[in-house]
Amino acid sequence: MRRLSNPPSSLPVTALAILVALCFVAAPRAAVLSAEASLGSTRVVTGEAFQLTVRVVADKRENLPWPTVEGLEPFTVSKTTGTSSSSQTTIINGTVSRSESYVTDFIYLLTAREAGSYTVGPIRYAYKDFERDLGRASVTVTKAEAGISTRASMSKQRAYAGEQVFYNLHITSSDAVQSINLPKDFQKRVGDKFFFQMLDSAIERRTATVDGREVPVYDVRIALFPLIAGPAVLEGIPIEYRRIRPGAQESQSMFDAFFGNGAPLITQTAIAAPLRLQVTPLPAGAPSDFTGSVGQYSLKASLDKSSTAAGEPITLTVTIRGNGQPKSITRPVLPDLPGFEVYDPEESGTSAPEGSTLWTTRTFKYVLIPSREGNTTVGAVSFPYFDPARGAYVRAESQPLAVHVTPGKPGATPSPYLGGRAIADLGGDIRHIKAGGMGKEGRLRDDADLPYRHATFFFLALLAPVAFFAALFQRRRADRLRTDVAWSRRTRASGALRRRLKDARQAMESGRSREFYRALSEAVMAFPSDKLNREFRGLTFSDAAAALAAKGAAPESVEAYDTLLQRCDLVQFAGLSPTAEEMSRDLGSAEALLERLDKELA
Amino acid sequence: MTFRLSFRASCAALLLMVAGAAPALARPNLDAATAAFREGNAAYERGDFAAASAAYARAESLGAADARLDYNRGNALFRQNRLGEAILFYERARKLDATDPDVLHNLAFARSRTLDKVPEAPSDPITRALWSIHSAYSPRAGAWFALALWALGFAALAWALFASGPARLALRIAGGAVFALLLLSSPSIAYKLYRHETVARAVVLNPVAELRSGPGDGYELLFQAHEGTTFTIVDRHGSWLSVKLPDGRGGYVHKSAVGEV
Repeated sequence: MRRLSNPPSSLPVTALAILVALCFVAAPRAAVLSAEASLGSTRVVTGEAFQLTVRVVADKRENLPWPTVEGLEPFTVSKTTGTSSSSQTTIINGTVSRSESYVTDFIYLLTAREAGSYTVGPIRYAYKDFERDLGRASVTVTKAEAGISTRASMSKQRAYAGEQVFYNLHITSSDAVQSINLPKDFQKRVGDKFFFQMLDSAIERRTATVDGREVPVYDVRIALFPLIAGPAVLEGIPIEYRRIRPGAQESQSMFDAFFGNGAPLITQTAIAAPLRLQVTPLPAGAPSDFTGSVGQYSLKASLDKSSTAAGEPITLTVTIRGNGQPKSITRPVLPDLPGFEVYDPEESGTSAPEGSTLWTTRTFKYVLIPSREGNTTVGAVSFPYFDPARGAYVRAESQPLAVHVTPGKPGATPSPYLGGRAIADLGGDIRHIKAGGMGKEGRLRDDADLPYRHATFFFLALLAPVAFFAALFQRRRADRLRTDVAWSRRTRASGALRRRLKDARQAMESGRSREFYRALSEAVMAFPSDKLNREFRGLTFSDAAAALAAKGAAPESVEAYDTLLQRCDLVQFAGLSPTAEEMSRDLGSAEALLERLDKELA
Repeated sequence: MTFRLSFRASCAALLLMVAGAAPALARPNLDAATAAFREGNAAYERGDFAAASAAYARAESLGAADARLDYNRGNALFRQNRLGEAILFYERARKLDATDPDVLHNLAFARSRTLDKVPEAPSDPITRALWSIHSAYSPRAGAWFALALWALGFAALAWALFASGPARLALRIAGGAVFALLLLSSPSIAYKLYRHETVARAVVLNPVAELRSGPGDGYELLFQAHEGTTFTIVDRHGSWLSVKLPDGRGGYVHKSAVGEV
């Protein structure tokens, strides 16, 4: 792809390649940010397709208008668009910003019809405030011999509506042609005036001798069924093929050929000649059960057995074969069959070519259940169609079929399931609605509200491991409390202290000073004992103070400890009578002291 | 002095939080939806299929998302010869409950009436067997099953901590087995939930939908799909969907031609 450049105003339009225009303008208030044009090739041969692309970048998604391109008259033009988007994230000084851009490619597929030098352009793009000249380009077209030749033909020039017409497109190819493709939108080419069916699933390559040389040939065989009366034109069908660029084969070096560096390929298109067909309407007077079948038809009917018992099923098989429009063969209307219960048929069918004609066969299998014994007849089955050869409506008919019905088993109810045969499906239907109960189970739910869309689900999911690890922690703690006495005492020291201080407080509040100081003394001695796993009760004040100091207690804490215990002893054993205020103060001092020791002995 | 929150208090707080979160799952309009559903059933039984489908639509607008509702609505639409819409609602019912045989039957039956027969990609017997197991439960059941296994595994292991003797060993083995089952089933559950959340499907509602090579009418027409054909949605481009058939073919179809499952 070559990018076009802006043409200098003082320079002539150059024959080389690419001219171009690239405009990059950011109009502050416009949706379009930039536009540029590029040309796929500037040297082509007649019939070779090449691409002109105008790329427009906008800051938001919009249906943008097509550009204006002049100078396209010498070319066959096919247009299409493509869109894409991109985003860009930038980080400047820690600030993240994101921008979106939307690209629309306006694509012109150009095919030159005649040799010559042409100028594509000027190409302009205008939308809102954005208006730019994207330049122009010169294209040199040289004449190339066609790689293929086509010959289209129809089996007849006049046909009735619905009658099969054989269309053949014979393609003769040169050796330089590598591949041939039929258009994908064949139905669009055929139009709504025809129903068509390809006779071959794949286009076979054959060889034929033309002017003494063996060349590849292809035949595209199609069964056409005109749908609307009047003159009908089958437009020329474009055949796209890829061939080696003329002159490239000769220029290939020996090394290129040896190492498989293929010669450059070009894509060319040949258009088959359009054909005309005069479509005659069907005459009036069609039978009421006529379904649009036009052509040659035959009908066969048979029973799987000529004798059966009442209540036992027999199968009537009706086969219709014809060369009209495949979908026109529908279920035939059966004659009245008194004494038979008739079920909907099982249908099957195929369409396949025989020679240059498409034949369709459809089979209908009816289950019939006789209800009366005796000799009876299944009347002739018929199928109406229009015979173009006779120019009249006729019927394909079967012969009547005789059936001998023997008495059924006594008391037996006529049923398709009797007779020891496997149960056969006679028809199908959807299953019935779900009523839902009137109780709680019949109440509708909101099943779209899946559980994991709620935080509760994840909370419950998290709860399980949390509970497990909590249990594990508890288990390990219990084990350690049981086996590690020092840790157990230290861990429980605070709880024991709270209980002892509570006892002391109760004694104080009831005015029992001796009990208060005994409880206080107990608490003050027991706490360091628990913390350090050492019995303090048997120690002298000085030994206890030394033990505390050795374990990290501050001198003032040791002194306070000593003072508090001495005061407790004085009250208990020397008959002092402290006031309520003194007791309260001593309790506060004890709490402060023990809190300090808790930290210092940790 | 430090005071720790006790274990019992922690458990109580967690239970209170769970109890507090539970009411968020409730939908108060389901009673009205159920009434509309029953109204639709009554209309269906008397053969008024248009009224039935209208009542079912009302039930859905009231917030119900129930496989039975979509199934019945599919039936009502099928009876009105609205094949594409019927398949759409059978597909929705299957999305909610892939195990209901009635839903699967009616979906297959309705699909047999479509013009387009798209062959599924061939698969071997092992893949089919695994797929049948995978298809035997709904996403909701899968999510609850995974959570139950998760909780049960931890509960068994936690219980084993406080048990002794053979009971302890048995609980440990049970916990391990539960986690092994979770490990085995998690790929299926995860894939199911992934598909449920990310893979969208669309059903052709128009008689004919055109599949193009790009998101616009200007693109090449690739093929036509008829009413009832089901696609997987690959991507979205404005009012166009990039879709794919089970046989691998794909293209862009306009949103107006299809209904999303």
